[in-house]
Amino acid sequence: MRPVWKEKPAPAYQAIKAVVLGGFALAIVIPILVVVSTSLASDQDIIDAGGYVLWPSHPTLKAYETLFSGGLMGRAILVSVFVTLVGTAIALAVTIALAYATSRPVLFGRPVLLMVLFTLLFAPGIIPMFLVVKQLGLLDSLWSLILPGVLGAFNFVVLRTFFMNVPGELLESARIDGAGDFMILRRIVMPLSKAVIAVVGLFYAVGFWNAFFNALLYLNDTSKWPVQVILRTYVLQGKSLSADQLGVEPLPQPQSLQMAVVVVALVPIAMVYPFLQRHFTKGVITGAVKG
Amino acid sequence: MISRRRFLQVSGAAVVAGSTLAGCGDGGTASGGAKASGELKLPTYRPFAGLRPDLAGAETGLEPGFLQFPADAVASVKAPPLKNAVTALTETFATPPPPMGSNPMWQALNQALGAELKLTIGTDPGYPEKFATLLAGDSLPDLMWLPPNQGIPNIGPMLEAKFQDLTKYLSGDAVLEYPNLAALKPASWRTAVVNGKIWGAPIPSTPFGQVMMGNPRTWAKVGGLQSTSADEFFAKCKELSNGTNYALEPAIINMLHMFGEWFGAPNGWRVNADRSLTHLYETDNYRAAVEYAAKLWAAKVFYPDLNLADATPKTVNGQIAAQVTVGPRATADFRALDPTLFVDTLIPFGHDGKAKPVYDMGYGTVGFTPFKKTDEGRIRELLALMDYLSAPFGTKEYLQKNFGVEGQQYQLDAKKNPVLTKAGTQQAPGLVSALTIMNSPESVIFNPAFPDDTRKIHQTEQELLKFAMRNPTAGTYSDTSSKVGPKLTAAFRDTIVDIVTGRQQIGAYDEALKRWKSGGGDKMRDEFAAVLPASVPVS
Repeated sequence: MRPVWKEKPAPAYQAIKAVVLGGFALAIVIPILVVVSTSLASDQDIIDAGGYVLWPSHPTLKAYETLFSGGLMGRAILVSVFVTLVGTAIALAVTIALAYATSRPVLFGRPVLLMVLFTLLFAPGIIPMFLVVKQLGLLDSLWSLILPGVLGAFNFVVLRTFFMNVPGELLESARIDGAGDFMILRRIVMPLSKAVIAVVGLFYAVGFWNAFFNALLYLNDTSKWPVQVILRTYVLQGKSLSADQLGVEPLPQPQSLQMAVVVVALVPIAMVYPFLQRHFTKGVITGAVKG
Repeated sequence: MISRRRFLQVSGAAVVAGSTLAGCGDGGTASGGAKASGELKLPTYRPFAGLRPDLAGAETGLEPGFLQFPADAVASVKAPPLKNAVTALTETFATPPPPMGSNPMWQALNQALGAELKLTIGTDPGYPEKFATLLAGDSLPDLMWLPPNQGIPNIGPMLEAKFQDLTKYLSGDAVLEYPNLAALKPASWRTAVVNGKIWGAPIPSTPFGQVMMGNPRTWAKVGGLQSTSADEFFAKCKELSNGTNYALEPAIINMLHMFGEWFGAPNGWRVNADRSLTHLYETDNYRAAVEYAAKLWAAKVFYPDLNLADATPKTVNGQIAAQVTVGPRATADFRALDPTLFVDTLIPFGHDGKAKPVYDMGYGTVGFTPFKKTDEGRIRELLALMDYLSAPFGTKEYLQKNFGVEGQQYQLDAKKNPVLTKAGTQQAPGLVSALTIMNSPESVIFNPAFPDDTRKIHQTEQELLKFAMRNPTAGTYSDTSSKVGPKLTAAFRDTIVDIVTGRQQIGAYDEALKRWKSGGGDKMRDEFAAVLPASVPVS
């Protein structure tokens, strides 16, 4: 008898699986389709559908034109890209360095240091954070979006645990060959941990890309607002113009504007994801069963 | 002039900021300060004389109507108000504006003001947090808009500790030095008084409160939206609801507000013959309205998705027949979607066809904008700025603030009404919203594209005023109410929504009421009753 996993599944079972999985897939695809469709919908489509649109019958790019016409959105994208790239790079450098240092048993005073780092798991609260950022002179600077977030305790723990599993013999042999700590980290530990570094990097990048609350609190100059703050204002504030302020050209309906912002905010991260997905699965699985 | 929809929505929101201002004081002024609030001499009221509206307004609250923008706008301010730059924290309820550096409309305003007006623009939600952090970090701008309904706690002690008392510059005839501020009504000024002192210029919105509006094309099938009794309205709703179309939007609390008016529930508090107060929730009238709403819900006339954010498109296309809007001027929201549609406004009626209904007027302002503590010269400069930004509808300053510069941000249409140009639609909305929320003149009715709407709204307002009731506590101050009021209201509302939607029995009402009373409701009553002005009539 063949083992059970080599049996061909019954067609009925296959069909059930297809329906269930198809259902899940639709549950994910339809909301995204609604977002994209509504962003492309004309005013008439929105009235006909009574709000959000499943398929625009008179597609138009008006919402996107409006969005990018003021110059605010283009700048916001640059800000978000800068914060995400620079933030992720710095965050990875800091986290890797710290995780490596604390993963080696030789470090002096390690338990105390670990206790200190443990406190980082708890959020400090809005006002203490604000005071720190203010005293560092970071208010109204893009660094206020980057520096407070460069060390995520969770990411640190994940990386450190991974580094501790790198066999000590490897490191010893490297040391015998005359490698210093930097060389070991760069040539041995990091190449072995590519998957988990990619995952942590993605966590950081998504975090920086999505951050809006810090921007609300620390930035007074609207020209420094990242995409997410603009997104929020568009999604949460309804009407663009009041009744007594007519324009020569009416603005698109708020629903299509809102969804256009959602698309703009989604696209960059959605584009990066497929390239990192490979590492993502590997990074998570290696934690469980190492082959 | 501002998008009040969002603003009024937040009035029901729970407190977000918690006690983040605790560092500013212990809230110790309590009712002593509240008592003083009742005794202050308000600024002298002197309406702006330079303009005559097409439809007259009245001090009762009736808004003046303008069929077109006044030709040859007059100036209401003699000289540019500023010599030095001013910083201000405000909030935008529209799409964010391009920053000052790339916003010619903003730059033109600065030029007209005489110096830079640097706005820090907050958003909603998040405003109370922004407010709290600036306060705690001692990084106060010159001006900070203080909303009355976003749950900013400890207002009395905070104002005393950090902001400027403006009483001697504004009380009585002193205000006449700033004619546009003198044109703000006493009812508006009452909302800028805390602890018996004036802390800023009030920001009038509209004196009217929520109304129910319906698509006349939908309601034509059942003889129109206007009804004479709750039973008739129920029957009409039932006829209009068929499983795909529904009579009412699912905003339960707002709908209950409307039903309460038909059942004679008071506006916030009832003033009894012995001058004691009874809260809305304690009245049998409101309880009856809750039971009526539950009956409507059981009959499936409410649109079933409680999370529906904006019913307007559905009202326009007929999926929903009626919704609650911020006030009688909101007809324009529907015109914006469908220019051929002028929605009907329901005039409240007695629930049994006989009793006199009530129409609840609104709070009237969106709070006030206090000044950071400073010297007299600076205070006068900032007051002059307030005066400029409060310039009445139809003045030069109003045009500058709301429409910018002719030929750049706006042009005149065939009827000589200002119309934003393409550049104007980019530069104006977020900026105008941010300016309007921190300073406004008294409101007017103005629908440039549909002057007839202005006439009809003016008519509707007069109908509504026949049943008008003001919240007797509006403009007075209770420390308990500003501390725990929003939280108590939110908790009570959760229960009544459960009751209406059938998740709880009506018995839960009494339990929730008990919690409301012991949680601070009784204390609020005492504090409000202690400062109830003698001018407030028995209801």
